Amino acid sequence: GTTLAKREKFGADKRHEKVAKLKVDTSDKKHRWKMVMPWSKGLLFYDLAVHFCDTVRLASGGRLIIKPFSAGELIPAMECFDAVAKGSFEAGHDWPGYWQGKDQAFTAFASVPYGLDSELYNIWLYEREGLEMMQELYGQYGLFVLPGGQVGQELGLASNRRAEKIEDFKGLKVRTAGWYMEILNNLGASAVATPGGEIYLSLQTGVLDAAEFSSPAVNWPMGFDEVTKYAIQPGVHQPACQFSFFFNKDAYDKLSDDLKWILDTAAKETQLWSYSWINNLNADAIRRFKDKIEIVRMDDEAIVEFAKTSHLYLEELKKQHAFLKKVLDSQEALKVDFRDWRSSRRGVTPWPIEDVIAGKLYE
Amino acid sequence: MRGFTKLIDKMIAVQAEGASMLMILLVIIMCTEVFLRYFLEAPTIWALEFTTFLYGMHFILGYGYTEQFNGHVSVDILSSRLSRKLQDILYVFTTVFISLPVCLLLCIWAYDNALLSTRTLEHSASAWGPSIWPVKLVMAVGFTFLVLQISSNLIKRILQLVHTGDPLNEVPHEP
Amino acid sequence: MSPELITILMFVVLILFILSRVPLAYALAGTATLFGLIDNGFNVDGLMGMFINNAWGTMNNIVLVAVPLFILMAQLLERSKISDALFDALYILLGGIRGGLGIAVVIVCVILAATTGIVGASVVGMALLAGPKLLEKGYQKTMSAGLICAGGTLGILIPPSIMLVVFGGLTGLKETSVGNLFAAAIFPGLILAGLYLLYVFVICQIFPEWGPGISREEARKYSGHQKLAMVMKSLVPPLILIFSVMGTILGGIATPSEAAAVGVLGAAILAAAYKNLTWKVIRGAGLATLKTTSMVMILVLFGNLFSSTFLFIGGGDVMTDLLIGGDLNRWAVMGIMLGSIFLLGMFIDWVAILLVTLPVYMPISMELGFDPLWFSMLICVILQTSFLTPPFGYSLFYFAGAASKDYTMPMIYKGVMPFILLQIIGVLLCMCFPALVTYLPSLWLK
Ligand code: NA
Ligand code: NA
Repeated sequence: GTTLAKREKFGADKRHEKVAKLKVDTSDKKHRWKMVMPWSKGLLFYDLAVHFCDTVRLASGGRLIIKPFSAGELIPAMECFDAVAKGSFEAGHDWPGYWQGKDQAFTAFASVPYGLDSELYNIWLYEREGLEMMQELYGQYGLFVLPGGQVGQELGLASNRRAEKIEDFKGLKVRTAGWYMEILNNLGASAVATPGGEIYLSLQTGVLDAAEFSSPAVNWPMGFDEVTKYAIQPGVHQPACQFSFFFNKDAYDKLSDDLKWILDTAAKETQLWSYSWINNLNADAIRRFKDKIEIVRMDDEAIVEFAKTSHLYLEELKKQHAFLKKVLDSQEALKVDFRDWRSSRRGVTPWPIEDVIAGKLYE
Repeated sequence: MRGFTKLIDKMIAVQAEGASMLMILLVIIMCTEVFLRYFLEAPTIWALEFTTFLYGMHFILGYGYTEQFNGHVSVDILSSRLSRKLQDILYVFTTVFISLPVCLLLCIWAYDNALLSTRTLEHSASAWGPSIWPVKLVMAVGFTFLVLQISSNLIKRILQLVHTGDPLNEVPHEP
Repeated sequence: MSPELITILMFVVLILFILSRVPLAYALAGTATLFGLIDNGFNVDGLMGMFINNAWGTMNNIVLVAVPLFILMAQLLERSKISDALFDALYILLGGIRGGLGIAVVIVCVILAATTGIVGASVVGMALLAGPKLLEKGYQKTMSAGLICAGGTLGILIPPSIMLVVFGGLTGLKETSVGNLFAAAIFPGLILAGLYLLYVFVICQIFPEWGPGISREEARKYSGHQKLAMVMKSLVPPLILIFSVMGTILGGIATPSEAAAVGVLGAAILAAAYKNLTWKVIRGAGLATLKTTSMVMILVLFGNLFSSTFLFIGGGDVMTDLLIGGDLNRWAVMGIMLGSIFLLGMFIDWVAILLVTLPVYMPISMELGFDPLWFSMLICVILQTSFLTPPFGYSLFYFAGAASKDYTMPMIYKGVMPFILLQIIGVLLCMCFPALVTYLPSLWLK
């Protein structure tokens, strides 16, 4: 006859088994570190780094003090990875995609067109093989890495040309960077590489039609709305924006066990706080944008076209870069595994209650 | 020794001819890019980055050349009141203990940096994604020219101190 | 050692090196190496790693590409002699007035300033061109020297300007973007030119022997109509250049960096039109550009090493505590900041000053609630003055190098004094009437 399988508790905190009997060595030794990053002080990402350093200082009772330095103070923005790898400084904060030139896989830990959103990044990094793969990648350069904040979805294009249908993107001169340049070109747009400091003026004078930069709250101080008419939504290039803290391995290894735990916990706290903080600000920022420029939605057909082109581009890249393939496949697997849960939970999107009653159910 | 300084001076002067042409090439590329983008709506994905490389290589390769004419800015407030001989001694002393070691250190670590980049076949992070190790190598070469030229100028000055001859007069005239 | 002591020692050693006639760049890098190593426990690899990262970053800072481009443009311009025709025409037009020749110098300098981004070309050009004529017509030597030095120096303030480009690149603020700085510098530049004009005119009325008018016969050689035609004709080439730089920016054709390249193209076309675009000219202009560019860029790069090390050892905090922590009135802090830049300007090159002071002063000024664009422009006018302040002033050296030996260094130092005073008046005007700086950019930003 058949017997019913015994149902046990469905999951368990795997970490608990590992740490239950762990002895934590502490030490009175004081450490003074420097943290470098690609952000100037005006960017909200700088605050993420500062937040982490504050938490570490307070949680360690001042035994580990990390002093943040904004871009250009000690080294130019894009040199922080090499400098920490080399040991000039102990810590760094980054958006991993900046190191795409070292390995295309870095961008997969930062944001992928039609890739993971913030929720899935957390699941992939902490509950699946994400962090392990990240550690493997950064480890090749003598670095120890921790997820270091996320800010969610980005704003689409700040544009002076209205673009809803896929044809509207033909010949559109767009400032962007990285993978998205090729994807836009493959769609018939004209991707233009413009240094950050020249974007505003280029939009104003018409050298550029449109520009992509970051999430609404981060974009607000840049003032692109003063020189553009539309925000073309959604930001298909970047459904999430994941950051990381990275540490020189030798410096990290010199820390006592408890300080290592403090770094780990502080990074997770930053991951939690940053998402809440920036998205609360985003809600405010997008309302302000709405008063000044028109929010234009590209149609579904265009969104699908963007997805197809992105997919083709990434498939080509995966053929050339083995580790990138491994990482992207792992992320795609999570999306597949998540499909049933995502579809079954639909319909309770937290719109204001009157909207829901009026029939607005889906994201 | 004088043969050595002559050789170095000649070599730096020759490479400067090439380096100075990088700026001409840069102007051509930039203007073409403006034309392509504005009139044909077809900008390239490589022009900005390529011009960046040209710009960086241009000035780094010029360091040695400018040194050849003692063209790097210095402030002559007190030293000009010293005798010629004392001035030369001061020059030799400061060059041996300040200028030369600093530039030599930079040169060595520029090679260290370039080698790391070469070993990992480093590419740029852009969509174009060209190799950047050659440019990092040029940085090291630029510092090498600077070190060589400082050494040449130093030797010339020492010879001037020791001998009665005046090899400093061999400094070529600027264009 | 305490950070305070290290900070002070760092500057003392730097000054010692400079006084020993170590080239400024090596003095900056040498001091940085010494103190960086003392502070990080002689971790040579760590410090040099930081230095090389800085070097690589400077090589990649494309905003500064305007530096060699403006220099190349000036080189071509000098060789196509467009300033000659302009000066000759104005000389004939204004020569009859007392001080008229001096006024012509200022006008030519303003027009040249609007076409080029650097100082050297205008000072050297005017020293060669106007210097002998001023001597010949009996202009007082000290005043002539001061006038040419000051007038030629307008090129670094009136846009386009490499100083504004470097400044914008260093701050990375939206308010102080290169475009905004260009717009903000127009009035201050014109005001200074106006002050020079006024000074020359008035002083020559008081002391007619300082700047006599030309003889009646000479003045009557051309009819009013002919004079006007000459001026108009001679204005065409500079207008072409002004359009090729500023016009392509405002017309949405090019970014400021690209506009500099278009300007080079424009200058090359002009040189060709004057049948001067030979291989010899191109080669000469190329080599001279390489030399001058490296001279500026070694200061940018090595100055960066100094400022990074200074912040690395905590010098920034020391200065900030000193300036803000002391409960000083914000205007006093502003005075100290601007005054120190003026003093530094007597001894050090502008690039080095920007690199050393900006990372500390800019955040302080913002913390004290000063408008960043306005504050930046005050700094820029003072830095422009540094070209004139003895003992170390580029313009004075350029002039001494190019002008006839009738002008001695003490004479040049003396001659430039009234103009330094006018510069200070200019700074005070911008300080008291911020709209002079902010009005044009505000139109620009709608
Ligand atoms: Na100018
Ligand atoms: Na000066």
